[in-house]
Amino acid sequence: MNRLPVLLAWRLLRLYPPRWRDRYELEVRAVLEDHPVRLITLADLIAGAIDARFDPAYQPEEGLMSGSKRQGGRNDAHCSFCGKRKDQVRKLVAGPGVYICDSCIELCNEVLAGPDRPDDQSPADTSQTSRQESRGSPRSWLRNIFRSAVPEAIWET
Amino acid sequence: MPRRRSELGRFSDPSVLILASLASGPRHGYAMILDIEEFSGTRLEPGTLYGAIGRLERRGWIAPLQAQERRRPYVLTASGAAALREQLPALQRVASTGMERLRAIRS
Repeated sequence: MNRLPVLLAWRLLRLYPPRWRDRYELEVRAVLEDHPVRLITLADLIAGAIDARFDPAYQPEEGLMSGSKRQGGRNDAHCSFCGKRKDQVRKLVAGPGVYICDSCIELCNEVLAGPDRPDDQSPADTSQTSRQESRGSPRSWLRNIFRSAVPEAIWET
Repeated sequence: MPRRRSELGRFSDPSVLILASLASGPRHGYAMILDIEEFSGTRLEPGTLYGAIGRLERRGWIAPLQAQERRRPYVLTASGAAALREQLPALQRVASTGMERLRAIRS
């Protein structure tokens, strides 16, 4: 049985906000093992993630930017990618207005070490600028996760 | 009542399906998908299902039970049953009005 669609669907769960993932991710993963994963399933997960991102119930207790501006509260620092708190990760690296944990750094390294997308015309002019623009705002942060979650699994096909 | 429904956002229809599914007993996510498909012909996808489950849970209309391995069953609460009881007659009215009007078109 081809596990790729299931793995891709699991990857898409990373688009959901951390509070949603804490509560529902394991359950949904179990459902995705039984449920036939089709294109509509993947599109539906993306729509669900966008919906959850706008749902006040899944917002972090403090806003992403306001939290990082409050540098006095370093104990509240959490990874801007996966949402884990400082005490839940081995290392948390601070950047300008963002944090990243050791697991997410590892994931980024995997993504960067993987094969390039076939439709990339010139890695030099796209990757450089996209990496620069991808720091800071929640929107670019989401786009970044999306890029790392989606294309990688597609490359493996 | 309209306000109550709008609070369920774009998941209002899946919500009714979930409540109706749980009316016959606790079920976990995938069992709900199968049951709903059987009685309504609608195949809910996991993203939609869990969007609606989250909202219903927050409203107190369904409640999670102890997870069995990774599968967590949900149960209909008393307020969930009351909400379903309140919504079904409206759906029935929509269905019967639609059928009546279709009959008028055919004749």
